[in-house]
Amino acid sequence: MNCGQLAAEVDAYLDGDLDQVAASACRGHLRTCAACRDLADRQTRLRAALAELPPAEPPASLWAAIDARLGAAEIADSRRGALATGWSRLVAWLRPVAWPVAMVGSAGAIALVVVQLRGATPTQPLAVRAPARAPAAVAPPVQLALRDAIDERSDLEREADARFRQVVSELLPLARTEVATWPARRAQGFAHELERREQAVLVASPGQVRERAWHELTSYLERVALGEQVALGGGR
Amino acid sequence: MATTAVSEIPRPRTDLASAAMDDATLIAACRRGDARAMELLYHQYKRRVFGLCHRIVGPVDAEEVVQEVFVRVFRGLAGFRGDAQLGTWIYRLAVNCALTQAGKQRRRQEVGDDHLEEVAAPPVASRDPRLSRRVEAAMAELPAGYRAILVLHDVEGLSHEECAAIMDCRVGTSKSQLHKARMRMRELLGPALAAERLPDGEAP
Repeated sequence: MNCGQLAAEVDAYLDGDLDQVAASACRGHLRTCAACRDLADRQTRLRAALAELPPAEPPASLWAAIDARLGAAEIADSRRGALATGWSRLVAWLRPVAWPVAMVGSAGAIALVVVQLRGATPTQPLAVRAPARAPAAVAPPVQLALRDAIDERSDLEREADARFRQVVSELLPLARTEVATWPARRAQGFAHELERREQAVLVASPGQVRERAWHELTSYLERVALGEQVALGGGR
Repeated sequence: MATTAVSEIPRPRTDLASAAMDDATLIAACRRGDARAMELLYHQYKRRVFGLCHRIVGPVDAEEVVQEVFVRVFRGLAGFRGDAQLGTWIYRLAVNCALTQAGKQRRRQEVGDDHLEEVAAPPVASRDPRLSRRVEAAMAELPAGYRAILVLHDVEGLSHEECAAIMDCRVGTSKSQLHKARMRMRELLGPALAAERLPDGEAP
């Protein structure tokens, strides 16, 4: 055995993981090599020092803090059912107007609309200008008349913005209620994340980009409002 | 928001008098929302969970991480299938939460926040307080993953099998990670460890 081998095996040797022959070889090397003896000494001392580290005592107030967070999570649970229902209603209401805005922003989609329109007769209803709120049937983008889509685009965008804004205004108080139960540092994180997403909406150009930014903002608020910050750990 | 503390509302109660209550009984009582059972479980595991988190993330963030761990424990007990020991499952949650927090600390540090500087030793009352402080300081220098395995095995005294179950890795990986962590510690502590030779007869 040489010094390199000893250095590689010193942990296994001290852990008692080596078989008798290998352990004997280690001991033999340690008897004849002062540098390796020193290494093994330091290693033994390190282990002793680690094992002797004083226990870190949890503060007495810790259980009360955990208790309070569990209570807050239970209150959030009690709201969750109603919130989830309300949210899916909002999404269904939002979708018909969000779709055309997303699609007219894309050249490919417009080409698709043109192809679709070729066989259209004047009696066919081509435009879906103000999508009905209920039922939540999604107006397929291909039903849009190209001319109408272009003419109405800015109106649609305005309407989409207004709808997203309303979703945000409904989700924000719910999210804030949830955030009020968070520790201060995480609550600061929420303010920062919210501002970042709001900023992204403000600077996004109309169409798909802005819609994505809106979705980022609303789905973040939704996750917070639904209490995902206290999501379950994986049960194993 | 004003919340009612868990212990202040009516809850199911279980006869916890039996000293020999096993994990299964405790888990069942906690799942029913028995406040005393929950507190009992907390007290059973608080020291080791706090010790783990304290040494992985440092004193500043330890309390918040431990809160998060126990919230996850109680909220996740419904999904605990019992194919690991309760303790192993709890320590795994603790290590995961602590490592996640350590990752955030590292990112904060990268953008100029000297947060990890605050990692300091807890009140020291061991045989060699000076060495203990140096050891704690050296541990704070380690990558978080090394810190975790070192705390689990060398500080908390868990076996490699237990460490591997907690870290969700093979026993061989646990051993090799620990070896690397110890080598790094030796480098960091260098003279501090060599300063005082063990008396004759205590050599390995």
